[in-house]
Amino acid sequence: MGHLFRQTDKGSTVWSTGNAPFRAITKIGSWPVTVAVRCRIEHFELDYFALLDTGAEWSVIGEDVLTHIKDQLGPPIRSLTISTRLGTIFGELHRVSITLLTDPGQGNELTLESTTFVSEEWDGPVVLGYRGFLERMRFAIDPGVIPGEQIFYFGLAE
Amino acid sequence: MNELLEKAIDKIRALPDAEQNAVAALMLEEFPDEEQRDRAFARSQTRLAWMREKARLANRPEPPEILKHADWEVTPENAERICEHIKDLIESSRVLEARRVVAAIRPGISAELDYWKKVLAEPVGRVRKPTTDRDTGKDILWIEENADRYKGKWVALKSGELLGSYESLKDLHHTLKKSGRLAGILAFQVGD
Repeated sequence: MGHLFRQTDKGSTVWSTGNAPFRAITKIGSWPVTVAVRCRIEHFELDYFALLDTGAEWSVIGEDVLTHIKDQLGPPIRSLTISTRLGTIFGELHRVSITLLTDPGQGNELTLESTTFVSEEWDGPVVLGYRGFLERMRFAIDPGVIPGEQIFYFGLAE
Repeated sequence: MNELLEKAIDKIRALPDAEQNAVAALMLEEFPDEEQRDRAFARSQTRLAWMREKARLANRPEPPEILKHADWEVTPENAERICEHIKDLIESSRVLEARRVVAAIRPGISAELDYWKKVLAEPVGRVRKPTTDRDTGKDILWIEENADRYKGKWVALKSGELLGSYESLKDLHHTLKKSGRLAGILAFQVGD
């Protein structure tokens, strides 16, 4: 199990609590994705690759996944628009549970009750954005040297 | 002398002479000068003040200026107008301001204000041990080596083994659910 530690003058503390390989420079459907990390959304039983995007204000879920988790979300209250790389889209903000997954022996999974923009108009990949998700966790990326060495480290910001 | 320092000195006193000298030399070498001490003290005071302020806001949020105005009093009659304002703040990327507004509103004024309070709350996290077997490294390797043959398809992978390829995520989910094989499976749409 590989963890990252923070060294201070009082000793070292564990900084990351889990890690997993990630896929770099790939395509999901028609969309280029730079860093894809494995996650699970709400109680949808399948694992999924999502785009890790520090430049995105919100996490975004589109119709593919929405179909399977719709009954786990509350009713839509008020639609709003956000600007994305695919243009302006309509949708709603929901509280959505997203879990970053690890392989056995690689530490703990991290689940965040996140604020996520859910839109039937979004046909891009699932996006993990800053507000309501990344802002509450710490993460680091080891790009490795050869394929298979890329590791995504993560933990809860405390 | 405070209690912690007294404790440290007692420990050093208990050492043999040679070791006392070594510790004293080390302390003098590492001892911060006045400027360093001032900087460290200032840093700790700033952090303390910031933490106190955060705790104060969390316990009794100060209403933002807009909610102090009589026309914006938080009542069921004004709820619609306040909700529209929150929506405008979010659409213009002023999320922290929107959070301050909802934090200052007590629950139960209107269903929609309660909704905004819920969705704009800071994310809450928990960690737990993985309960399902998976091998992401092998799944990624499979994609590297085989994706070209499944362009545009949804593939289901389990630790580097292909379980099937499908036209849609819905088909993939439906088929695997019927066979009871969903746990730890990666659903991936191969690039077209």
